[in-house]
Amino acid sequence: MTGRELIDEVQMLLADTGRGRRTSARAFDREDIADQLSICQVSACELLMQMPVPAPITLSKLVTTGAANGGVIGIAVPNNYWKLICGYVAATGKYIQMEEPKYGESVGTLIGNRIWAVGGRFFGTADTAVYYKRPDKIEDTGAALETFPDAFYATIKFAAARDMLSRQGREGYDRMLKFHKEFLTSLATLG
Amino acid sequence: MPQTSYISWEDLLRKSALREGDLGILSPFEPETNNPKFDREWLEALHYDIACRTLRQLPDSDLMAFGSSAYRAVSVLNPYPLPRDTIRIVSVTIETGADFVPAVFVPIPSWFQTQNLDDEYSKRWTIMQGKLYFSGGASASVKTIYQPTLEQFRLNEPILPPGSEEDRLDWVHHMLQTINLLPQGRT
Repeated sequence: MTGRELIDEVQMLLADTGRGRRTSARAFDREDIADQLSICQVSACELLMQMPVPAPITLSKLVTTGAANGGVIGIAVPNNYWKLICGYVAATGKYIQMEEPKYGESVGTLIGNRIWAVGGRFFGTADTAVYYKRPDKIEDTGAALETFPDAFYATIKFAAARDMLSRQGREGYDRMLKFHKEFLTSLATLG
Repeated sequence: MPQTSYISWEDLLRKSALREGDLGILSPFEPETNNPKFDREWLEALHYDIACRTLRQLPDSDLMAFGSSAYRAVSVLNPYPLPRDTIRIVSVTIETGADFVPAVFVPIPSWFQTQNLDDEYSKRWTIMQGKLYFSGGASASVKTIYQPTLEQFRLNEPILPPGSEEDRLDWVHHMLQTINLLPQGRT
C-alpha cells in the first residue's frame, strides 16, 4: 500500500472523491489527510505500546538500537529516538533495565544496572539502547508504506476519517462515532 | 480441506448491492444516467476490510481446523525477516539436531534479559526490527496467519470459515450508509 492509496481510501470514507459532483474541488485537502494519518499512526502506536505485551508484529519495525554509553554525564539520543525499551551491554551480554531513578534514590549506586533518558540524553551504563524510533510521516506519494503491516494502515484510516469528520460539527458526530468504534475494534485485533 | 469459499466473493458483492437497492454498483458500464451511489471499487474495498478484520478476530484453532489458506507454515533461518502481511505467529518450533522443540514468545526486554541463559531448557523467540529471532538452533518451523490479498478473495480461496457472512454484510451496509450520510457526501 502506498501513501497515495491510503489517502484515496480515507477520501472514499469521507465520500470526498468528487464522484457525481459538478466540481472537482474537494472538501478535504489531501495534504491535510496525510497529516491526520501521520498523527493517527502515532496515537495508535501509543495505544499498542501500552498493551501488557506491546503488539510485537505491528511495532516490530520501530524497534532499533543506538549508542548509549552515557554514564552519569549522558549522551545525546539519536535523531529518530521516540521511546526507550531497555539497554544492553553487547560485550558481556548484560541486560540493563529501563527505569528512571526515583525521588530519593542515589544515581551513583543505581547507574550500574539501569538506563533512562531525560532531556534528550541517555544516562546509565548500557552501551546500547534498545528503543522505538519515530514512525515515518505518511506522504501523498506512490512510495510503499513499509513501516507497518497493511492491517495497521487499514485500521488508522478509520481514525483519520473520524478526526477529519469531527471538524464537520454536530451533524457529523454520529458518523464520527461509527468510525471511532471501527478504529478501536480493528486496533484490538492487531497482533 | 475445502477448495473454495462457502459463498463466492461475487455473491457477497451482489448481496450488498441488492441491500443498497443499487445493482448499478456492479454494472461494468456505470452509465451516467444510472450513476450508482457507490463504485464497485468502494464496495470491494469495504468487503476486503471487514474480511481481513474478521480473519484477525478469529482464533487460530478455528482457522487451522477449517484449513484456511491464510495459514502458512515455513522453515526459516535465524533471524527470519517477517513478511509484511503477517497477522499472527501461531507457533515457533526450533530445530535442534534431530529434535524439534516448541519455543515461547518473550517481549524484547525479556529477550535481552534471558539471552545468556542455557537455552537447552528454554527456547524463546521475539520480534525486533522486522525480524523474528529465536534462541538456539539455526532453523525453525514458523506457523503464521497472514493477510490474504484482495485477489485471493476474488478467486474464492477458502480463507474464512462459513458463518461470518451475515456479520460482514451488515458491517458493509452500515459503513456504506455512514459514508453516504456524511455531511460532505452526496445526497
